[in-house]
Formats: sequence, C-alpha cells, structure tokens
Amino acid sequence: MAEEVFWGILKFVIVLTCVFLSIPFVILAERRFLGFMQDRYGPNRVGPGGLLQSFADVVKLLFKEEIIPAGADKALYLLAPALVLVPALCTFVVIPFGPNAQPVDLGIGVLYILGLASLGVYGIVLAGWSSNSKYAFLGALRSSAQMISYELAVGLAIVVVVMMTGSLRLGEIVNEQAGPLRFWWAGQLVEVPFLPNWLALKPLAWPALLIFLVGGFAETNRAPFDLPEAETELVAGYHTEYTGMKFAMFFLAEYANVLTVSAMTVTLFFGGWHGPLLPPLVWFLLKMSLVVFLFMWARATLPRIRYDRLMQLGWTALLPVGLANVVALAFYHILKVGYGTI
Amino acid sequence: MLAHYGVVAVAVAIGLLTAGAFLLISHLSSLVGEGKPKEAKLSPYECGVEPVGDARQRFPVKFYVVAMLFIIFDVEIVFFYPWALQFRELGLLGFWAMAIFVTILVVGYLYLLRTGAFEWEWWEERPVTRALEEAVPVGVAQQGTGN
Amino acid sequence: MSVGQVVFWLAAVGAVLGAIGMLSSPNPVHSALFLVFSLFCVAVVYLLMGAEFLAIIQVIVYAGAIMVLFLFVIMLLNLKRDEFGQDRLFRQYPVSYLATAVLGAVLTTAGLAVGLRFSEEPTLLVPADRLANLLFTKYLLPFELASLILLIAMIGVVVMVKRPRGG
Repeated sequence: MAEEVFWGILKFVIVLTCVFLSIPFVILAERRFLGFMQDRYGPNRVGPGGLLQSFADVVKLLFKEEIIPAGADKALYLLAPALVLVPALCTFVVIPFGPNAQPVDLGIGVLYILGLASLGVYGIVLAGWSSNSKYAFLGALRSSAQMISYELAVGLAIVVVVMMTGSLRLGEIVNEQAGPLRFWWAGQLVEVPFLPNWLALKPLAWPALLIFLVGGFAETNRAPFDLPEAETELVAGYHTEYTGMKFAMFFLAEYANVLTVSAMTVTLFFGGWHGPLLPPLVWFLLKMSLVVFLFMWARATLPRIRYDRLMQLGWTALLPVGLANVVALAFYHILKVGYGTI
Repeated sequence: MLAHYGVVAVAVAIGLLTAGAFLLISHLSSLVGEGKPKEAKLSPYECGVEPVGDARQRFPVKFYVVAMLFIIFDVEIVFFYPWALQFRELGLLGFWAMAIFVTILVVGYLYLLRTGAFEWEWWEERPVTRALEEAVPVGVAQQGTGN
Repeated sequence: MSVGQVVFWLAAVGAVLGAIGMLSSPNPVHSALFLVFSLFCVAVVYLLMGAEFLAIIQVIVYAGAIMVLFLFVIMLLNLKRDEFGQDRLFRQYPVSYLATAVLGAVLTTAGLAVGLRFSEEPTLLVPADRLANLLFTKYLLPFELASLILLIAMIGVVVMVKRPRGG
C-alpha cells in the first residue's frame, strides 16, 4: 500500500515536470501558429525558430516590478493566483496517460476533475474583486457566470460518458473503449472490425462530445469564449492588475487547463491511450496534441461570441441537448434489452 | 482505497508549494529590484484617468439569477451520477424513477424558459420567449408572473 | 494514533477553525472563504468515513456552487461598514446562544448514546453504485421529493427576480 502511494507520488511529480516543461513550447506553438494564420511570422528571433521565446518571456516577467494596486485587498490579491494555479495542477493526478502512467485511479476520477474545475472559479472571482479595478471586477463577474453555466452542460456530458462506460473511474472508462467497435443492433451485439470502440465513434455520444468540447473551451476561458479578458473592452479582464510572476501564474494555469481539457477529451471520448502499433503513451500524446491544436485553431478562426449569446447558448442549447442525450441513451438501453412494453 | 487519497493529498501539497514558490519569487524580485512606487503607478488602471468611485460596485441581479439557477441544476445533475452508474442493473424501476425525476426537471426548465429567465437581457429583445409566446397560447404561465 | 485518526483530527480542527474564522472575520468575503475551507474539511471527514462519492459531491455542490452564490450575494450587496447602520438583530442574540446551547447538548447526548468511536476499517471506501442501489430502492420517495423541492426552488427564483412586463 505504501509502495503504491510512493509510485503514485513519483508518477505525479514526473507528469507535473513534463507539464511545466511542455507549456513553454505549447505557448510558442500557439503564437507561431497564430502568426501563420494571420500571415505574419510570429516570434522567431530567440533561439532557433523562436524556440527559446517563452523562456525569454519568463526572464522578462521575473524582472517586472511587483505592483499591488492601491485599495487592493492584499491577502486575497496574493491568494487569488494560487487558487487558480493549484486546482489546475492537481487535475493531473488522475489522468491516465498510459496503462502504467496514471498516478492514481480514483473511484470518482471524473467527478474529481469536475470538482477541481468548479473550485477554479474562486481564484478568478477573487482576483477581480481584490484588485479594486473596474475592468478586473467586470471580467471576474463575467467569467464566473460563464464558468458555472457551462459547468452544468459539461456535467451532463460526463453523465452520458458514465452511462456508456458504466464507471466513474478514468482507468475503467479507457478500458471500456478497448477493442473493435461494438454496438447493439436488432437485439444482438454487432462488432465492426478495423474501427476502435471509442465513444467518439458512437452516434449516441456525439452530442456529449460536442458539449464537452464547447464547455471545455468556455471553462478554460479560451477563444471564442474569452470574454473575461476581452482585450477590446476589458483590457485584460480579471488579471488586469497583475504583473510579473503573479501574472505568470494565471498564464500557466490557463495552459495547464487547456492540457487538462485536451487530456480529458481524449480519455473520455477518444479511447485514451488505446491505439495500434505505437506505444500507448505516444498514442495519448498524439491525440492530446490534436485537441490542443483544435484550441489554437479555434482561437485563430472564430470571432468572440457576444455575452448574452454566450449565456443563451449555455442555458438554452447545450443544457437541453445534454439532457436529451441522457434520455435518448436511457431509451436506447430499454430498447436494447427489450423490456417489451415500457 | 483510502490510501489513494494520500497521493491526492501530496498532489495538493505539491500544488500549494508550487504556488507558494511563485509568490515567493515574486516577493524576492520586488525585494531585489528597486521598486519606485508612485501614486499614479499604484492606482488601478482606468485608461489613464483618475479612478472614479469604488471599483466594487453593485452589479446586475442577473448574475445572481445565474448563480441560483446553477445551484438548482447542479444538484439535479448530481443525482444523475449514481443512476448513470447503475441504470443497467436497476432495470425498469430505475428507468421509471428517473423518468419521473426528469419529467419534473423538464417542467421546471420549460417554466424557466417560458418566463424568460434564461434570457440575458430579458427586458429587451427576447427571441426565445417571443417564439414560445407565439407557440404557446397566453395562459397560466403569464398569470403567475404578474403580467 | 493511526494515520486515519491524525487526518481526522486535522480535518475536524480545520473545520472548527474555519467556522470560527468565518464568524470573527470583519470582511464578509473573507468570511465566505473561511466557510469554503470549513466545508472542505468536512469533505475530508466524509472521505475518512468511506463516503468517497459524498465527499466529492460536498466539494462540487457546497464549495463549487453554493459558496459561489454566497460570494455573488456579498459582492452584489457590497455593504460597507457605515451602511450596516445599527445592528437590529441584538434582541435575537440571547435566543441564538440558547439555541446553540440546546443544539450542542442534543448532539453531545446523541453522540454519547450511540457511543462514538473510530471505525475499525477506515481504509474501505463505499463505491458509488451501492449508493445508487439504496437511493433508487429504499430512498426512492425522498429522491422524487427532491426533484419537487428543486422545482419549487426554480419557481422561487423567478418569483423573486422577475419584474412584471413593462415595469
């Protein structure tokens, strides 16, 4: 038992180190890609192809003067970036990167991630409130209302995944997606060779996948749902007043959250580490990078959505669609096992 | 296994230590660097104008509505998880139990939709509500809201 | 003491300290955060009793949803010290002390009657599917009633907030 705990901690430390090492390059990749999409170069001067740009940025942030704005609630002002960063880092403890690369397989793994996501709201609200700045305050309000609204839809998408896999345990959710594609048709189990048994390939999970992705974008406050920091109206939203390493914490947390949402999308819908020929870890990272790329692509192409439309989308589109998905699955199950008259 | 949560506890501790390290570095850099705080520099950003009034102003009640509705639906969704885990084993009983639950939930949802609670600017253009009003004849829903 | 007992005492003392901090903090936003901490410690106690699902639900619903609403209300009202005016609740203070004392006495007697002790097997977690089996058979009626209560809450939100048309 103690051995298991030891290995879990070791795995978590390794995963976290990899996350910290990869984020500078994810940021660089995004900036280069945005440059490409907007017909400009992007950062390409520091190091070969701009590889060291993010490290130069870290050095710059280190030398920035630390400013605590007048009238700020100092304790909360310092606590807020920590409250954003800590949940973002703690999510990585349950993510199954490979068959032996999951620090712990909690019995309620999916809900653990959802719980941490719901705690992330505090850091943002407090950052906005404690700064004593109007822009920060408005950004925090918008952000928190947006995050809690989309959390509901994401919750329903997870209910769909739990119904289809029968487990809250992330390791089991991945294992359920092993082997060839299987589904029930006309009272018998049909097996489709050459296609994997991923939830993303089952039509009944498509609405959930869509909701999970849209909700993931909104939960991480990323474009096209980046209203909390809409620079054209709110300067930088909830982190307007933050400088130096404290700003770096918000930045780091944002990208850590992007990685978490990508990893969760792969785990829940794209079969996790399952895949032919290549080692499991490679498969996982490959799929995960594709979802991260989707984040960048959306940022480069989609315009920011208007706030009232955003809330309406969450409450009157995603929520009922998620509920309909759950109901449809329940009926499908009843048809499958054939209860006769229901 | 409860021991699993030992790993989670250590993970939280590592997260806290990381955040603490960041704050410490930012504190150290402010000690090493020669900070030149001025009144204008310390004042919150307001496009170069002297800040007007308190930043923490009262804000629209609609944010409050969103938070209240969020709690209600969050609790509803929490009930779905145990059911989703066991709905195969629970069979018809589970199906009907959930059917009643979902029906009541949907009734509430439709009521909220009909009264326009989901519309961000429900005092202005109300596309969803207007479409519903054309579809649903004037009746009980309107009496209840004091129209 | 076993590891479980050490964690229990840490969580229990943390919960009580959080509650004291909530009551004594002059700033309502700080109070709300102390309460979040206290609720979090209670979640740890649930976990020690093997109620894994309940613990995470405690975090999601209480810490993640209800306390966000509390923060919103505090920020929505944004009362300053001088706006409070005179404390009009002072007549209720003796009643509240009395009620607290009675509650404490009842809980203590109940605890003594049951005979509180540490669980022999603190490492066992109750899987969430066992909870489901209980919820949808023995406790089916309370479950359905919960949906009705939530429906009433929805109506309450609208009644409280909705302005009459044209108003």
